[in-house]
Amino acid sequence: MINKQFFEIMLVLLASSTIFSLELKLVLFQQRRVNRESLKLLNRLQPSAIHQCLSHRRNFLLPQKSVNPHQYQKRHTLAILHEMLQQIFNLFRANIPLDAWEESHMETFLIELHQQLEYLEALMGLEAEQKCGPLGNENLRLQVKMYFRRIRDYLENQEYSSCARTIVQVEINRCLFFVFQLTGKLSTQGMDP
Amino acid sequence: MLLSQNALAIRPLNLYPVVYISLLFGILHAVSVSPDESCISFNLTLRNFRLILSWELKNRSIVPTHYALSYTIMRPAGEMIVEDCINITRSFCDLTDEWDSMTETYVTTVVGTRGNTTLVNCWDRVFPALDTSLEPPEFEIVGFTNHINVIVEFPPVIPKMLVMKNLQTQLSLIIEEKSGSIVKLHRPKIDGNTTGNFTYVIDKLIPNTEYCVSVYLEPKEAEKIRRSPLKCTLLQPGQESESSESAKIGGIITVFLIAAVFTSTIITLRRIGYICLRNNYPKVLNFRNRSAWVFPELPPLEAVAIVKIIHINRKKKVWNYTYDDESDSDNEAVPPASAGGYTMHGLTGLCPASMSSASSEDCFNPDPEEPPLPQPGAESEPLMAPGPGPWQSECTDGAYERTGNLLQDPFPEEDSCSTEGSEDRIIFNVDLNSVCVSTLNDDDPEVPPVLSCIPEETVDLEDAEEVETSLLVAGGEGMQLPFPSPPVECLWPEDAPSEKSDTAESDVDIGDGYIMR
Repeated sequence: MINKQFFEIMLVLLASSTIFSLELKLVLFQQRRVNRESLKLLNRLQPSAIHQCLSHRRNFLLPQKSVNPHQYQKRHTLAILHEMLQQIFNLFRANIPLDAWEESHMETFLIELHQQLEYLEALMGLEAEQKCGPLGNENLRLQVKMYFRRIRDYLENQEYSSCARTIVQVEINRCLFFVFQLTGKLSTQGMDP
Repeated sequence: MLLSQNALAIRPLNLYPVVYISLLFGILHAVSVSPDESCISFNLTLRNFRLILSWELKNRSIVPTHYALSYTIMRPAGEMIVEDCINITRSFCDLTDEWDSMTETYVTTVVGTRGNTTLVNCWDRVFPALDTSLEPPEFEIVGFTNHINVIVEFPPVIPKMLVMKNLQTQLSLIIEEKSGSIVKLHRPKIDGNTTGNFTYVIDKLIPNTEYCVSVYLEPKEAEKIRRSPLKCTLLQPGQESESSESAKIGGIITVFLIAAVFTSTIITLRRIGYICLRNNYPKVLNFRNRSAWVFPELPPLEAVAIVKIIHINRKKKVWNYTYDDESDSDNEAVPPASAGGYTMHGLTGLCPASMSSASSEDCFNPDPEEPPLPQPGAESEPLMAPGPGPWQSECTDGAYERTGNLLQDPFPEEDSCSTEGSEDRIIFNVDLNSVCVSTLNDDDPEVPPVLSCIPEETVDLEDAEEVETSLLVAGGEGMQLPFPSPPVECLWPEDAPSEKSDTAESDVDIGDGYIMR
């Protein structure tokens, strides 16, 4: 009886691992597409706008230590990645009038971002089943949320001025670079879970 | 008229300062105006692991003689002036020790001057994570028989921009191996501690084949890869150092294997007893300490001579179940016993033709009282001599001859038949000591033996020697006494005195037909 149950559990874990592996590959593939689109958007940032808005610079206190991908396990990396992409998606979905970006590029970027979020959610669901419990990443998610909260507050205080949006765009550049690092870490952790 | 003339004179004088001031402000404005971002283009290059920022003015007609570089970041911070890049004549600057973050946006400003005149004041943003161009590092290759050593030159210290907190680099080193149309990538691991000459071995190569190697750095998220020029080498077959070492190692291993096989074979053969037989016999076979031998002593080897036995038919004295003295054998016609001679008892068919007539008559005319005796040849019972007698140990010579004078007829004529049983079966009890024996001559094996029957008359002992030669031997062939009687001299050491007393002792005790000795 115990052997039968053990055998069933092993089958479930193996199936989950297989599905998880496939899902992870999808996540990694999609993330690279998101990164590629975001790079296109970043490259379109006008330098003159940056120089004119130097007086509007703001330190939003990106939690670099918290989002350092090299000190967390795979489930933590997934949680941080998901939260950051979710916040970016919400920020751009609000149709913040960023003059530097064309609408077509923005729409493409949002579509890729949405697909990536779905893959990540599926992957996180499998991870939660394997670990037989909640992921326990609320603290990390809270730090990311607070960071993006500060960005929104700045935009509201600056009344969504052009310089405020330029400053936010520059800050998103830094945030996406951390997403790149998290993707790389996830790819490495996917090889050795 | 004067007022109008004065008004005309005052207006130009009032305009000169205005124009002068306007021109002055205009120039100042031209100087203090924000830099035109389009006047310059920056190139950020990682060359030999050094971060080099170079620039080029878009308006090439303006050629400043000196440059000054400064930068700032998009977070609240002041203008950062690079001290090593102030009033420089070159159009590039080493920012390895200045910029420490790949994710930061650096707003960089370059002021070009000539003398005391500022010709250009350009700026642009630089995002190292996207704008850095990775030049391939310097490397060398050394080709061997079946592998290539790739030596990549790393700086003593890797730029902090490229090393994250856990010493992982932002870069990946790629070594490209080409052989014909086959391309293979090698990704050696590098980190913050990788410094100096980094050697990577490409092994499992085919000798006598040309291989080309290229090295480049691949950033995490990069679209452009700049490969180094190919460096090729032709692997030589059987280089001495490599082949000699491998030959030595192979020879040592071969010798070791041969020695091991030989040793194991010797040990195995020894254990199974094929070689180096043991001397430690089982205790059962240890006869050293035995006090008594189980096996009887073998008799000494003796030369056995083939002899033929002359059967002498002797009458056995038959007891007529009377105790009458008259029936004593004394009253019987005792055949004349020869002094040591023989008495024919009618062995029929035994006498060959060479026999003398007298003897032949005796042979073919046996005593009628005697029942016919079967031919000795018909029943060639092996005449086994009795057990070893004491005299046999003394006399080893097998050939001997009996003389008639040595025997005494133990049997009376009438009753010398020792036959028993019915007329259909006749059983002989022959005493070998009472038969004539002679040694066969080796020279004439085909000569039939001549039976020299001893006549009923006693044979004179003095003619014993003559009788010896004329004695015929009868009997089955090959009858061999296993214990041949010793020579006459040994047999009867007391013959001499007995010869004299043979004739006198007619009443010698004959017992059961045997001569008592």
